[in-house]
Amino acid sequence: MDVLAIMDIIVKGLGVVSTLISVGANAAPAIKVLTDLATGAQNGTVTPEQLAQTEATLDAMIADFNAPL
Amino acid sequence: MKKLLLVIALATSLGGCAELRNIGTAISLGTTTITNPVTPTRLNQMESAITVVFAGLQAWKKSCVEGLIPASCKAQIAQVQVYTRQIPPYLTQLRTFVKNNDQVNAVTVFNQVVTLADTIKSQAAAGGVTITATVGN
Repeated sequence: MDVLAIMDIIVKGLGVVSTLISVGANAAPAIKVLTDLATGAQNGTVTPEQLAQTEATLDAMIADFNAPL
Repeated sequence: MKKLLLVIALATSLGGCAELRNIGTAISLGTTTITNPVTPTRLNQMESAITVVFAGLQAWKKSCVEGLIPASCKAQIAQVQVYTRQIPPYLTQLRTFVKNNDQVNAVTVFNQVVTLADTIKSQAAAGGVTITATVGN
């Protein structure tokens, strides 16, 4: 478990969450991913359920961004 | 250990939108080798990092749609989408390879995602959005 890399993601993620809230975007999915990431780090590994949740969130975000303007 | 540091800084092209100036997203991905395999935990870490990146991109797109930033953002986003749309097939492959512990192919696709992220950086920079990617030790 690369703790420094995880902390880097969480710190940067919190910055993005702040921005999302500022522009009125839905910050909940990003918060959930960060929470799950921290939980996984605490447990030392990731469960298949956590991985599936992360992937579902990411897929939804990519699809949203990739939709035509 | 080699790391990829991808920093998205939307500051330069988003004049007039103070909130978006503050977006700064970094993903750190260790370069993979067979001896540094892509485990489910590592995959989750990478996908979480990319999620944060896309959360930032969503904020950019939302502000563009709502007209909070210059209209040129539409063309810029469209240019970046050419490359972000290539990510899902890679992720699908990568997830399958990791699930099957096919490390040879997992490592290959993982590094393709890293290369694609670098391409996205270049395209976004051409559109006025500064994305700095650094590959170092």
